[in-house]
Amino acid sequence: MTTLLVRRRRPLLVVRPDGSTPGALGLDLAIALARARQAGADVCLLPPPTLCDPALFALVPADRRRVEPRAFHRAWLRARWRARDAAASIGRRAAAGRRSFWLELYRELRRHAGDERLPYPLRARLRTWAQRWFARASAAAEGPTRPIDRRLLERPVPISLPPALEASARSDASALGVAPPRRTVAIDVRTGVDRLHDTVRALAAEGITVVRLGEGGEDRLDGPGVVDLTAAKDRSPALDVFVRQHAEFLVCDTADAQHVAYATGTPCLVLDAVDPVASYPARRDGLYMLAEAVDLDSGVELPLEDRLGPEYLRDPSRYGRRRNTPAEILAAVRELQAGLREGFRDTAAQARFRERVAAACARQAPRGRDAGPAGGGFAGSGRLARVQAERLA
Amino acid sequence: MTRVLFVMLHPGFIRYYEDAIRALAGEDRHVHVAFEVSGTKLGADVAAARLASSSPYITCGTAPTRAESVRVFLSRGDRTATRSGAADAAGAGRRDRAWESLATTVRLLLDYLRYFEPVFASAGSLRMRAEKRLPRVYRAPVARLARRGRWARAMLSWTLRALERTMPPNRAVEAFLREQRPDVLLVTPLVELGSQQVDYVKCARRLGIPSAVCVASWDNLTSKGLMRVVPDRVIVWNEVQKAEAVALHGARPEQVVVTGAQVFDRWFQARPGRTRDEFCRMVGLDPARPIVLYVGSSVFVAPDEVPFAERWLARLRGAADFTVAEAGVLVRPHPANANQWRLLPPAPGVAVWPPIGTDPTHPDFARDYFDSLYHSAAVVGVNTSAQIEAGIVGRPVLTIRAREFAHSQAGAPHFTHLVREGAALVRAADTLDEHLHQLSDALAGRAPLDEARRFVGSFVRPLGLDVPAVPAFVAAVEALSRQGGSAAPDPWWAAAVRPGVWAVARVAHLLAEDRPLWVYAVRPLITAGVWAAAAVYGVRTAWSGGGRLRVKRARRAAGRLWHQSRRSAGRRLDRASRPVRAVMRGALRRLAGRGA
Repeated sequence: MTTLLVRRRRPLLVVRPDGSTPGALGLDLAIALARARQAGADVCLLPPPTLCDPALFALVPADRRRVEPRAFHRAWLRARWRARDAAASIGRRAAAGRRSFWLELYRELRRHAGDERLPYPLRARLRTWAQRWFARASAAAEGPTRPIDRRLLERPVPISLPPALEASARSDASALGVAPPRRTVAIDVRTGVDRLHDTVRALAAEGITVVRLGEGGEDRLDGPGVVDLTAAKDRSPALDVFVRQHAEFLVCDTADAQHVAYATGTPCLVLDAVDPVASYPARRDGLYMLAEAVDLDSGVELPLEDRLGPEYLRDPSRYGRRRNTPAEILAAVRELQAGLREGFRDTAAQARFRERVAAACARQAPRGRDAGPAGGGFAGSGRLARVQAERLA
Repeated sequence: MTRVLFVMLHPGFIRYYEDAIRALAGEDRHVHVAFEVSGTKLGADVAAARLASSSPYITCGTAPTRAESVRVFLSRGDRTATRSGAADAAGAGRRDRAWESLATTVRLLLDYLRYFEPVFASAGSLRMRAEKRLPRVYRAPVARLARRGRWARAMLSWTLRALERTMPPNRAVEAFLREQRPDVLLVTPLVELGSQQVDYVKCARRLGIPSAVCVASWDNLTSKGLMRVVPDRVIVWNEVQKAEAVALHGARPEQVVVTGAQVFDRWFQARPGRTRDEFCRMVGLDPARPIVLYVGSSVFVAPDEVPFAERWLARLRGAADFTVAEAGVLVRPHPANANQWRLLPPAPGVAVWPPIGTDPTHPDFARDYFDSLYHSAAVVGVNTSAQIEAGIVGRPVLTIRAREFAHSQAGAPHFTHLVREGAALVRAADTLDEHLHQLSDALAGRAPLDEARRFVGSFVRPLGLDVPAVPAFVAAVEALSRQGGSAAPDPWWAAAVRPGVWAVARVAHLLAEDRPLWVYAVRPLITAGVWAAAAVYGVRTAWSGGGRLRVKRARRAAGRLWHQSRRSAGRRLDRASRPVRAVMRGALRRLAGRGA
């Protein structure tokens, strides 16, 4: 995400978030707002070419001004941002070209190094040169990746919907019986919804309404105290954001939903996490549970050391996953509720686990948009659910 | 004695033709089975050894090694590989490699092109699979051209087919056919993406050997590549495949022979090996409850099937119908996609059988499979040939059109055969609720089986439910061998344009590496640099390893020679000048005497 900080009487941070998926949009918004807070700047959000969730994009920070420039000023800011973005893009492309150049030269030399007609010492020397060029290619690959400082996500930025959207979403929510002051918990779980029945029953017993959001599927989540919005065909995006924003917490099973929760400032429990580093909750009110990683050839569960090792983190999809059980989910929900009520206190196992994840985070090279080791191996202030931490750490 | 040469891609195809080959082989007929790729996957090599030992008239061996197999072609284009193999050395192999590269490229392009036809409009994943095999440089231009319409596709296809015809016959394959001297050539499957079996058909035609393609399975004509060169006979299961061979592969109707599905003949005669009680005890299910058999699908069809099965199981257990909710569930993983079932959490009333890792070549494997089908009350699966086997055994077969399998159900033309209106083998449900109703009917014995019987009659045994397919297959091969063939040389123009196409073949060989185009420009410089370095190295080595001494000796020898020759020349000069000097001395003396 390219950001432009315009220095003037009151600094202005100009950002065009990635609107292709709610997760990308949520993460970019959360980071942009946090950066603006860090720089003491107002924020100007340029609309992306594709916008999957207009309500999410419309969120307004409570502690700073969201500037909506008009006419010439808007065109001027957009032009400046585009220039900055083009420069960044050229830099990225140049780095990619550099990488490709050295990698191809490396492959050419390796090709000749395998030619048995050439004298052996020359082939050995070609191999050494090739290795040197490969190192250059690797270095060029690391260059353009600017890891996102996960510390930016650590503190939520207070946000709200614009008044008109807020009013319409509130009236929709009231019609469904999920508007404040009613206590609600949002659930955005796409697979294995049947595992949540115990949790839903327990929450309903406390008088909490469970609202199911997201795409949903064929699985139903029904029962007393459940409102399944996935079945509502013409629900407005604002209602979705409104529910997330006012829910006591969110239970989800995708990084997308977790990132939206960063934007809406909702405490979050992530189920079935695959990557222990990238999914680690950045905020103190975040909790996550790892899916059990299984080596499909042997059927053996991978120990934690392996899951924090480079081989697993490079491509976790090579391993099978066993999802969290209903009992684990219920225990984690109870822990999250207690934490929100009384404050979060890590057990020794949870603290140990965080240290190990932070060490893995510092070790690994930047991987993608949110797993960078910036901040000296800071993984996040959240925690692994106690029920798993006791077993794993 | 008639000699039959049966060329298979790998020994895994034996399972489709084991009975047919045994029936073909006899005192008057020898069958040699040649495998292009020797594989050990799922015990295919064991099956080959077993087949060869079953009769003295059956032999198994390997097909000639290719200068560049499809596998090597694909691995050369792997951009993620950090090693790209040895440089392309000049020599005899270079010519063959270039032609093989062009052949594979042309065939892959044809295979990719077919998926732009309207009939494959919903087969996005099949098109993607074909696209992945192609070097990147061809993808965008071919896709753009193919989307321009029927005429553009036809033109491109015509060009590619013309290229195919101009390519010279594969020398290794031709030599192999000359050595084997078969009376009939059979190939299977021929339609793999980029398949090199086309060369067998082309060489057989050149040598006057009648040839036939044996269509191994029900999806072969719609979910893989094209035949490219249609052999003399196309042996298919049924009329549906005949229509596909004509419409999609350009075969003439008189070329196509319908025999029925040889692979399923044994299912019509099979009897259970155990009683229901024994079977339930073995797999760990309650014999008092009906069994629902869940048959797993292949990797392409269902790469991540366990979450779906878990969801299905959860709904099953929550069904309103007590019989459905309490039914025993037996999961039978697909042998080539079994490992993922290790993730299925153990649950009461659910068994995975046979255990993951069971040897599929074990004699009990087929018996266990039949028993699983026989003792079940209904069979559920996504899209697999086990559903056809269940239909033959007479069990109701069900499926659910799930979103995660859309690519292999609605997106796979062969799936439509199973659910075709009026002769559907499989009852497909759009939702799990609908499926549970169907399952409830099936367990109560209310499922209609007429349509399934009609399907088996038309799809598996089109010549009659009591008429096995193996004798029909043997008769088709016999008829082909009796018919014989006449040698068809290459067209005159093919030889004329071949030198020009050779340049195209060299380019195709280079482009198969799938590298950025600048690499091809830089390569000669790097190659020249490396060989110059090698030359310098050779000179230096020669210098330091004895060269210096030799030069020193030569210099010394030259010095000595010079010294000696100078001395001897001096002596000779001295000798030669002696009379002159004597004359001079005498003259001087005389002059001195006069003076005195």
